[in-house]
Amino acid sequence: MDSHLRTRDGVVLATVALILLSTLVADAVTPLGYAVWCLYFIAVGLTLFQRRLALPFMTAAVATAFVILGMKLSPDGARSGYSFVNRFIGVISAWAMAAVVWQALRAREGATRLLWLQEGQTALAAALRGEQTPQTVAANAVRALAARVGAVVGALYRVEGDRLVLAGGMALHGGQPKSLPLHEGLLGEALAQNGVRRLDNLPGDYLPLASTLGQGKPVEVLLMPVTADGVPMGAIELGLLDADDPYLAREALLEQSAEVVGIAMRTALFRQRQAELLEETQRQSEELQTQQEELRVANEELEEQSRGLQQSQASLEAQQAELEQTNVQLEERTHELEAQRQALIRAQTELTRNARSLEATSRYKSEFLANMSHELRTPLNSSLILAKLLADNKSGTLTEEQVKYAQAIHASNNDLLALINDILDLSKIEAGHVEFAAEPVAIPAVMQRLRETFEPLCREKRLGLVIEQAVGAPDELTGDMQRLQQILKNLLANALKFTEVGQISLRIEGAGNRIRFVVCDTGIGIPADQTEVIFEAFRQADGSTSRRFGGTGLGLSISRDLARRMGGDITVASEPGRGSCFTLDVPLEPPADDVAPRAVSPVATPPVPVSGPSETAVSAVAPASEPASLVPDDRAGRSRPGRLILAVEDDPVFAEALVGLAHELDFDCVVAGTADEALRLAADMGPSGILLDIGLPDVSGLSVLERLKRDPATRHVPVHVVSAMERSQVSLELGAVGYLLKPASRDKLAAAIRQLEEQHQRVVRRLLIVEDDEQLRANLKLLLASHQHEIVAVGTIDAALRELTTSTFDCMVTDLALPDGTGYDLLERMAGSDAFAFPPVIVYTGRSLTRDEEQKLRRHSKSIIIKGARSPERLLDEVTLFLHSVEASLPSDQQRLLKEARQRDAMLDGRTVLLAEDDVRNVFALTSVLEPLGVKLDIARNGVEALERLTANEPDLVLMDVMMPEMDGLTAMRHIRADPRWKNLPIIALTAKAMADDRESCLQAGANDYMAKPIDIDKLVSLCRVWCSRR
Amino acid sequence: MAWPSPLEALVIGASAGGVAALQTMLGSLPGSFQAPVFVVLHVPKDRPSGIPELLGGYCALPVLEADDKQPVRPGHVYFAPPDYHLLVESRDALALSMDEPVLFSRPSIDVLFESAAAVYDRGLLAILLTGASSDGSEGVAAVRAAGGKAWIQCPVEAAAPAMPNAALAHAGADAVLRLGEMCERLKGSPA
Amino acid sequence: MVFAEMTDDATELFDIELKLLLDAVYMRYHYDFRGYAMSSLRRRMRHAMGRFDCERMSDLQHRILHEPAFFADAMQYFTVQVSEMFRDPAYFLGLREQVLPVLKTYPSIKVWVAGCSSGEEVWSLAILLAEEDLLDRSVIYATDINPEALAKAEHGTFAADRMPLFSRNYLAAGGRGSLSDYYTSAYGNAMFDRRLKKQMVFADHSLATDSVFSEVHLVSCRNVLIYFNRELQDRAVGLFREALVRRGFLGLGGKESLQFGAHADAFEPFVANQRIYRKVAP
Repeated sequence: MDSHLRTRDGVVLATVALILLSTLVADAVTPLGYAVWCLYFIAVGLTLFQRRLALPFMTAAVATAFVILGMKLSPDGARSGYSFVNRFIGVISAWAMAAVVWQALRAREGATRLLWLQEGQTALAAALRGEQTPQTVAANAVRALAARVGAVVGALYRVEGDRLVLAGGMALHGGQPKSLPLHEGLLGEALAQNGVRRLDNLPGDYLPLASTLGQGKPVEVLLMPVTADGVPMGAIELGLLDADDPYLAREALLEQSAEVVGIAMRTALFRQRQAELLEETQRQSEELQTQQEELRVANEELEEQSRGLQQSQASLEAQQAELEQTNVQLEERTHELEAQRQALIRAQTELTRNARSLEATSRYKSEFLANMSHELRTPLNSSLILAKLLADNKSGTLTEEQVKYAQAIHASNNDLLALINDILDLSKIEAGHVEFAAEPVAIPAVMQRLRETFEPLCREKRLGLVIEQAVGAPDELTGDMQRLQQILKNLLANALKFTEVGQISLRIEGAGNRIRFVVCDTGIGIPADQTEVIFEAFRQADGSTSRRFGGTGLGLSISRDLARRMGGDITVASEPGRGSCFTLDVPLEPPADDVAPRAVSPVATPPVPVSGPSETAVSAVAPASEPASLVPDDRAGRSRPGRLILAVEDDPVFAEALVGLAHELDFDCVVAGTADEALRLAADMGPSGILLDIGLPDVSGLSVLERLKRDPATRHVPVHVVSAMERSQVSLELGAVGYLLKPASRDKLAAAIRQLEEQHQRVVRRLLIVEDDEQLRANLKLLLASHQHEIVAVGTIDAALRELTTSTFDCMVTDLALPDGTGYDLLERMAGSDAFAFPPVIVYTGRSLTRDEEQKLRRHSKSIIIKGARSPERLLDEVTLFLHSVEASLPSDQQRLLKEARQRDAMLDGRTVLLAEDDVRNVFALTSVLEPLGVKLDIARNGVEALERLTANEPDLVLMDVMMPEMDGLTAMRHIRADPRWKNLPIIALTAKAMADDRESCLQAGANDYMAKPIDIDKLVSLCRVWCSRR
Repeated sequence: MAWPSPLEALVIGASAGGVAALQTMLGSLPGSFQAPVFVVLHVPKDRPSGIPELLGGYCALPVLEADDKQPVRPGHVYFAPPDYHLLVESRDALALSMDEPVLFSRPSIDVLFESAAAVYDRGLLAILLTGASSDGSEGVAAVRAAGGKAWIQCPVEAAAPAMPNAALAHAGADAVLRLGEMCERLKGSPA
Repeated sequence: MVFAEMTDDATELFDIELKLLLDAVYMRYHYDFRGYAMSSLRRRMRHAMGRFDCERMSDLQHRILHEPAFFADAMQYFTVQVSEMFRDPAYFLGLREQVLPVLKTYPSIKVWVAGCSSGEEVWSLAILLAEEDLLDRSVIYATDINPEALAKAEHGTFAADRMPLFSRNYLAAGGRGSLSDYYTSAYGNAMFDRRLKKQMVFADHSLATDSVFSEVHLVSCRNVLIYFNRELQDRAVGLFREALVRRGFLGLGGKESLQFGAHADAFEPFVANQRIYRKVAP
């Protein structure tokens, strides 16, 4: 259309020009007077058929010039005066005509423009018709307007808040900003001025055009605001490839379209909002429904629960009523029970008192008897000797009758002596002062000896004697032969005594690990109700018996007591008139717990208050103790080096038992009967452990314990207390490892010895506490106190260093603030000198630390604990850890590397390596490996620090962790590489990533090499060597 | 009889009115019931649920709130925890997830049913009980498509009929039963 | 979703195709989803197919393999990004009242939020540490496999309409002030205080393929393990175990348990009723 018009304009112009020129030529050749110039009117008239408003006047002007020129050129014809006038009129007419044509052209142009505008509006309206989204409104509006104004690219930005947001457009390249600030830029201006703006002289990349032909650039841009009822809604930007505006109506069109587009946009937005709201409402209602459902379920749950609760409440109420009822009953019952209990307690107290007094009486009796029989023997001896002298009648001065008397006195005295011996024996047994040997006893030998003893006696009474061994009966037992024979003799003598006719027999039977000696007779027998009585001392079946048969009647009592002490018993089966069978039943091995005096006799271990008299009685009766040692022990000949128990015990029986037990547990044993001896032996012999009695003759065992624990030479020796006195609290406080109350079973004693052994094997750990606050120091000692380690607490650095030079510690806990320096000074001084052992250090501090402080401390301390509510717990935990895992703290390959690294590594010695790593574990591991190799290690915890250190220290190699706070490793490496000074500095990157492309990114960032975590120290050291050598 | 044979697992979905229905149903399961039971009940997301404990009191089988990757044991009843989807990961383990809620529900019946269908296919019995949402419809369809059976509570009887109705319309059922009938049948389950 | 054609075979084929896809993703992009729990992955992939108009898994696979930009879009279907700040307030209360007092005894503290997703938990922990006056000596490592999520996490900007929920949680978790003290809101977003970010390290890290990167005192990994199968769970917990200091802490989601895994004996429960565990002393 446009081009058609343009062609037509061209044709008209050409025609006009042709007419003008040809008219001029014609005019020139025709003489004046011929009004050829009239043809110029045609030219002027023709301009009506083109669009340029100026052309009629231009044609008129040219025609004017040509008319004048024609007049000059024309050959003279008619009168030139007329010619001049004619031509003058002609010129005026041409101008008038031009004016008319101009007017017509203007009117036509106005109409066309109006039509163009109307068409544009119609097209726009058509494009925006229907229910459209804001995006399609934008696209369609832009497209329609662009088509009208001849734009090739366009975009609509919508106002949203205080920004302009791209809503749509055509032929957009995609590089446009999606949103712009509202009051900035050309669009913003257009919006603010509320008018169309036209721009040429565009910047290079303004609104580039995307087409399949490549990217073009508009030469002109139109910006128009979009408004609805005057309210700015957005702006449209249109790009044109040429500035040709045929009707000069583009801007007018755009101005007129602002409202149309704006209202369409507003409607679309409104519609969209409506749709969204509807959707939202639907969604919300669905969600509400779901929530409602959930609430219903929750309600149901509650109802169900309350129903359940109601039920249980009802049943609870019923139960409560029942309970109340029961309570009343219970209360009554309780009262009753309480009354009964009181009565019982009273009865029990009574009984205990009775038992005590009985026991005492019985003991006094035994002691009295023991004493008395001893006292009796002396005069009796003289009486015996004198009677014998008299009966011998050496001087012959006595009559036969008198000799008989003297013989009677001697015989009676002998009987008396036997009686006294029996009583003495019994009382000894009852007082627990009889010792039993544990030796192999050959049964056939015993039988032989009995046969020899009793055969003559039986022959005399004309009784048969059978001594036999059953098939399968053992030939040997371990025990005391003397005592066994004593019992059997007693039984056989008893049988002999009460048997007038028939025979007596001894039969030996085996019964598992026991042996039975059965002595039978065919004598008078014992009534069933008397079978127990005959064993009771000082009582017999019949008061008359002794008179008839003689004897003390103590033999059976003695026999049974002896049998019981041997771990056996004697029982009797009898039928009056037909005979009796006494069975001695003893174990083949002596019982294990016979070592402790047990309640086999009425007298148990004498309680301490009466031990004095009891012991005097013992020493009087059995003055067996030697001056060197209470009982035979190993002080002369040690056979188990390094394994020695010191038994501090004044009771020789018990001491001997302890020796036996120690031997059994593969320990040598020495016995100390007194406190002084105990201390001397403990210091001289260095026992593995001490069993300590408290009731010692010289001073209390507690004082021994205290002195043992005070002496540095003995304080490590574990002590186990074994005593009849309840002093466990004090003993344990004084440092005993255990406490055992007498009488103790063999098992418990063995356990005590084992505990000593265990304690001894456990090396005692030592802990040093450095803390200036006295109160806190005491509290720490309390907190960390344990039997398993020893604590030394000091308050100053000097004191700490003194302790560290004189002895070794397994762990040290230190405060940072000390009166003579900081904890850090202490650590530096420890590290700086070989004079000090360097145990694992725990820093226990009240203030928080800066990263640098922490880093500094980390070099020397294994753990840093900041005081707080939960710190004691952690301190205890870590102290325990370090005290008990000292050797295990370094992984084995690390230890090996350390060993290998004793001689410094030539390649690495003196090198500076910058380690940028924030993982303490790795820092520690690398420090402990690289520093012994002679490497000077510089540590940075993040990229920023690494860069700082780099300038300060000029390292030979950088180990760079990738993942660090503040600045990561990749960034840091890029920074390093950006500096020409560090272009060739070797960097090894450390990363936890598994993928090969991670390696790529490290290398791209500038790393020379790469190493995956967890770090293999061995490989890393060799990598360091490689890269240091290249330097 | 509309039974999977053999019955390898039972999944149950319920919503509004579900507590009472589940109480009846779990209460009727015999102590000898061999298959594992997985239950989704729409419970509020923002608070712990006491329902497993509550219903455990009525059920002869152990009733638990599921933990992630908990081993699946026969004769145990697993409830979906609030705000987690419950899924069957394999025959040995169940799984939980925090994927988007389905139809605003988490736990969702659809999610449980679909995951169970993929694992147990023909051996699965799905029971959809009362409820006022449309959760479970896709799940029932998945169970049936995989060869399992689905029973739906008779909408007339259900405290809230919407959910059974929706499932019936969308996927149909192998049996439409009253609660009592379901319980009777479960007592005599072929497994 | 249509199940009409879902026969046994179809289920099996679907699983096979899914496994192939996971292998393909691993080989092409080094993202290892092969140890993810199948039950929920199946469902999410079916979603993805619906969303991207893929009739078959192989179509999805084709596009994923050939269009890296598409994979970035599809990534959200492999991982799940659901979180809120102070989600499960009792957990944070447990950390505040029982774990942090112990962490206070360390001169510097490292926390690892594994699978941090869009970072709600990272920022919550930072606030917690700040309120307990520990933030300055802490480093919080926040790791995830999804770079987009990490970028979001690092940005620390959340939709303003979520703030009421977050605030409720914050107060229930024992918050000392108001959550609004920590953010400024604009354009419908709430942007959290940059000062909280100073101690955060964001890094792309996969629990399935990568190893331990630092020694830490607390690992918080909540509702991440539920997407893993047991083997991968064991691997992940193994990493935590290795990363944790002696007697360090591990916090899991409310329904995640160590009880069924290989490392059950290496940890002991620490906070009653919460899944906060403590490493047992060796």
